[in-house]
Formats: sequence, structure tokens, C-alpha cells
Amino acid sequence: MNILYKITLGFCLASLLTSCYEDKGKYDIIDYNKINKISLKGSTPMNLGDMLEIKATIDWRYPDQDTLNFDYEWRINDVLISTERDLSYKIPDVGMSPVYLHVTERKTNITSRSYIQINVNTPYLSGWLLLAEKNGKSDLSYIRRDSYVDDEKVTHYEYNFFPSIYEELNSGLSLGQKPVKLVTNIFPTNEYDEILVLQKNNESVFIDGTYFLKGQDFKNEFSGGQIPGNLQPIDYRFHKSTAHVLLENGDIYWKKYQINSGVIHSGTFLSTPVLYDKGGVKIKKFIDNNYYDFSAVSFYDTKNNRWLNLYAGTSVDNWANFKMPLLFIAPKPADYVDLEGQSGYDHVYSTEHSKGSNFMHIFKNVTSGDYVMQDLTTINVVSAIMIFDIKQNVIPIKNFVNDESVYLKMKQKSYIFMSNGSKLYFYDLNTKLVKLYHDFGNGKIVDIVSDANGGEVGIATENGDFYICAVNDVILGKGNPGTEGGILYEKHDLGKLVDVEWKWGNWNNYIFGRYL
Amino acid sequence: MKILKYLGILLSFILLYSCDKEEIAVFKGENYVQFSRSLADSLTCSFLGDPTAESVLFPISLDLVGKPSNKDRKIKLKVLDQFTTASKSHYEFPAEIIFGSDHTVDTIWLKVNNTPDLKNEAVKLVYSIESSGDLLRGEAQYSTGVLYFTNKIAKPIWWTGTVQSSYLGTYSDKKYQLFIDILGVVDLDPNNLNQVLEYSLKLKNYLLQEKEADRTVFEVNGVEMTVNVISS
Repeated sequence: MNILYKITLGFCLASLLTSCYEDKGKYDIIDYNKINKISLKGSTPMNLGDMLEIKATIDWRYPDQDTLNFDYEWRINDVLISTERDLSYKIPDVGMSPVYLHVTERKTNITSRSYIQINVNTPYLSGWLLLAEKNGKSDLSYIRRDSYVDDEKVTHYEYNFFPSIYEELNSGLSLGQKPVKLVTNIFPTNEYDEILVLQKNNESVFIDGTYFLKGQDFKNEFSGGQIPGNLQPIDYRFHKSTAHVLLENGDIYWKKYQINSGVIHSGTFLSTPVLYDKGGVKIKKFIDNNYYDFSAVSFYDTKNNRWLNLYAGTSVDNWANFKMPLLFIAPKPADYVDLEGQSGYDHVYSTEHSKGSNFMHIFKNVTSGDYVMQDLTTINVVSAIMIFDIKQNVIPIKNFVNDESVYLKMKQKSYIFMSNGSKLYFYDLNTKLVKLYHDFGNGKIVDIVSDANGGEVGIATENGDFYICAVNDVILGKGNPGTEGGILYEKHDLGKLVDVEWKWGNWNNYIFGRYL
Repeated sequence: MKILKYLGILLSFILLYSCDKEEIAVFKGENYVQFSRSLADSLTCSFLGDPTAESVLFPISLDLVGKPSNKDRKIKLKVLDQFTTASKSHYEFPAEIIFGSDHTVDTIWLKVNNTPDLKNEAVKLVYSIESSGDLLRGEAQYSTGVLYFTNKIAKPIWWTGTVQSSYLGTYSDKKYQLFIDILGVVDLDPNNLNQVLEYSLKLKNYLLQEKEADRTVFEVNGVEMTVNVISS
């Protein structure tokens, strides 16, 4: 038995030693031309469609030896894109990705590797979008501001015009007919934007903001692709957790997303419009407000002369589309124009203008013709719009505007621009003076739009002229700002301009007001 | 040397430890059939959506516990008369109840007749699965079912939880009847929140319109009828 145990034990120990074997490897030192360092310098960040140029600077152990005995492989996402020493390549997609260079010595097969992070942007990130009717068709143009710094480190700007950009980038596909409005503050994700072109004849369409490619037909946002009553949509808001559309009869339809972000085209609008008391509402358009700062779809009901708000946050919750009452903390002025049912005034203009904390309304006194400006300090507390302060006063613009005037209150600045025919005026809230910016000669001004940070305004005239004008204290302080350097760029013969909007490009540009 | 012996035995066990034949259990038992819904979740067959219908076919879902078969299998059902208030005139089971070949779930379509007495009072049918040669009776809790027939308003099973707390509010027969009248439906899918939202808003809008027209809708106890949905 003793022997049996010994054999078993010996066998077991032998089994445990099976990983010990004789190593017959070679350890001779190979004297190869070691690469000490690879430096890559390239044209990143770059725009989609541009050539990516990367030059490789390589530091060898023996620089005097023939360095041509190497193979080069450039790879993106492990896909071979070039075998040249220096890279010249057209990147097909936007976004960030590493580009790897593999350098292999043919004699030894030893490979060294380096990489560079490239950032490919859309060439159409932000800028001015112009919607016009031209030759009986809708026409979308785009203007981008580019910059360069000269030898004396002075930044110069130049504006590049991209005519009929939708047709150009969609292989001649027609955008549609009878344009109505552009909506640009649509961000399905934080990284990119979509554009909605509202048109009559059921031709409203979403466009991908990265490359202006055709997206979903708007009618498909409704069940069965049927817009109620076959009515035309005239305005639209996307607030990440909700979407609202205003139809030409004043009905507002909405949909609620069940998850946040990236789902813009999922689900359909509810079949029931938002119902209001007092016989319903009459609405011309949604009020301009940054929905990150002021989480509500805001509008003025001209039927019952009241300011209304529907809660619309950026994340899904049960308060979506709640009719928010106004909760007055501040005392109302004696001559207060009642925001919940005023009489004796025509509503002229409304906007949110200071990171969600200030809302402005302008009314015209039907009897006297005076214009009354109401500036409210507000907080959206979900269950109500709380009003902490009300400033109301007559502003001296009566002799400078008419019933067809268009207005723009610059966000976080003290200027209100207004038109009268071809003339552009501005009212300075500090000096309380109105001043002519420029008379554009012919063509009624139909739209005044700010850029991302309020440094420029775009002026569109009915006869197809578009101007970019500077807005800064130096220019505005001049005798006639328009003729003294205020007009930075102009473009003519654009057709019948119906809408101009600033294209934000992405969510961060929108919420931070960045001009990028 | 003894230590060496024990060590040897121990090592042998260690080396043999990983050698183990593992059987993967496969179902070798009998095949059972049971209802998809437990006894605690009774069913209601209502004629509220179409009060004039002569009869409807009402689905009762079944689950197989076991292996699907390549042939149809018979199921035996028994009505528990001592708990049943429905009469034979109220219902007709199919002549032969079959669990289909290759099925893991199936449905019994029970014909329910809209007899005049259902307007006055709901009646109850209690039925139970009995073991047959093909399929045995499953879990006790899932082998007996209760079905109410009614042409009289009654709280549906989905009017609870979120549907009640965030959308339709407290149940009342009057509110449910209004829901049916306004929407033309008797049921909703509590998991489809967009549908729940849409139905709730339609009821909310109706109540708002009636109030606006000085026809405020009240519950039978005199309290104004409301819904809980916050949206508009």
C-alpha cells in the first residue's frame, strides 16, 4: 500500500508540474532602426468635405540610415485609409475620432504607432438661414461667417453665401412651394440640430442641420400622416420632452415624449387640440423664448387679449402642457395693461429677453395710439409663472412705427429694433431715444433677427435683400450707423424673403448664446 | 510517512474535483394547463360599449406548463355551480375546448349572451380546469377563474394605480359611464401612457366645456367631477 501511495503522490506532483517546460526562445538583441517619436500635425479641426492633411515627422535612432524601408498605414476605426507617408484624405462623417499611423520596418516587421485626434465639423454649423419664394418655389439659402487673423493679430470676418443649399446638397430635390416659416431651435440631441421648413400644401419638412439633407415629412408627425382638417402648420416648438404645433386656425396640438432626447420623430401628436376657456384662443405665432431658460410654450391670445403659457420642460414629467397661471407677487401699476384679459390695447410684440427672467410685451393704446411697454421679472415655477416685478411705461416710438412694423428686442441688451417700411430704427431703453439705423431704400423690412450673441442683426426685405448689421455701442453711437460701417454684408435678388432665422447648430450654442 | 499518505489522498481529490458530469435538466414531467390570470384577478365581460349587442365572444387566456405538442389537446372545464350566479342562458362554452398544437398559449372563446337581466345586475360565472388525458390541471391559484357578465357599469381592472392617481382620478360609475360615452371605448391599455393621456385629456376637455357652458358635471354626491391629469 505504501508503494501505491507513493506512486499516487508522485503522479499528482508530476501533474502539478506540467506548466514547467524548457524555454527555447531566442533573446538575441535586434539592432533595428528604432523610432523614438512620431509627431503628427494636421488640419484639425476641420469642416466636413475638406481634405484632412496630416504630416508625420519621425525621429529615428539612426536618422542617417535609409528611412524609406518602412511601410506606412493610416487607419480610422481600424479601417485602412492610406499607405502614404503623409495623409491626404477626405473624411466622410462629422464627429471626433482618432487617426492612427502605423510605421513598420520591412526588415524586422517592427511597428511603431502614433495617433492624432481629429475633429470634423459640419461646414454649416451655424449662420443665417434665409427662406424665400423664388421662381414659384421655396428656396433656402445659408450664410456663414468665416474669420482669419492677419499678421498683426487682427481678426477679420468674411461672409460666405450658399445659395439654394437644400437643392444643392439634395441632388436637385425641390424643397417645396409656398414657404411660411423656418424653425431652427430643434435639438434632438445635444450634438446636432434639425430645421423645420413650414410650407403650405402639406409640404412642410424637417431637414438635418448637419448637411441639409431631407428628413421626415412633417405630416407624418400626425397619426396616419393626416394633419387635422388638412390645416397648415404655421409655427412649431420642440422642447425635448414635448413638441407643439400651431395650425392656421389657432389650434395647438402637442405630443409628449416618453423618454428624453433623440426621439423627435417618435409618436404622433395627440388627436385633441389644447382646449381653452372663454371660447378658445386666436394665436398668430409662438413667442420667441429660449426654452432652456424659460420652459414654456408661450403665446398671446388676441381673441381674449391674454398672455398664455403651456409648461414644456426639457425632461419628461406629468406637468407637460400644463396651462400655467400667472401668479403676481409684484403689485400691479395703476394703469396696468391686464395680461389676463386687457381691453383698449392691441398686442404688438412679446419676447423673453434675459435668460428666462424677463418678459417684455408691447401694446398699442387703441385710443391714443401710444405704445406701452411692459417688462416683467418672471420665474417659471412649473405650477405657475411668478411675476416679481412689473415695469410699465409709454415708449416714444409712436411716430416711428406703423401697424406693419416688425420688432426685435435684443436679448440682454437695451435696444429694441423696429421697422417702418424700408427704415430701420432702434430704441435705446437707457437713453429713451429712438434713432434711425438705416434706410434700406426700397423694399419693406419683413424680418429683424439677432445672431447668437447679439453682435449682429439680420434684416430681410420683402423684395429679396438681406443685410447683416453690426450692433455695438460704437456703431450705434454714430450719426447714421448704416452708412458709417454698420452694414457688414448685403445680398440681393434672393426672391421674396418670408423668414430669416439664426441657425444655432447645436444645443450648447443655443443655451449659451455662442456664435460658433 | 502518514502525512505523505494524507497529502496524497488530498491532492488526488483536488485533482479530481473538476471532473464532474453536469446534467442539464430537461422537462420530463407531465404537461399542465392553467389560466393566464390568477383567481384573484377576476374578469368582466361588459356590454357597456355596445349595450344593444346580442352577444359577444369573450377571450379567456390559457398558458401551457410543459412541452408544446404536435397535436391538438383537449381541455376539460367544469362550471362550479355552487359559486356561479349566471344561468345557462348567459353563456356558451365551445363544444370542444382545444389547446392547439405547437402552442404555448391559447384562448377559449366564450360566447356571452346579453340577456335583459344584465342591465339590472351583474352575474358571475366560476369555472375550473379539470385534468384530462391530454393535459393536467395547473397551479390551483391559476386553475379557477371568475368572470362577471354585465350590462351595468362596474369599475374596470385598469382603473387603478397610475391611471387613477395621475390621469382619471377617483373612480365612480358616473365618471366611467361618461368616459364610455365621450370616448366610445370601454377599455384602455394602462401600459400605453400616450393613450391614457389622450383619453384623460378628452374627458378633461369635456368637463371643461360643460363647465364653460354652465352645465358643470357633478358626481352623485354633489361634488364636481374632475380628473387628475395635469396636462392640457
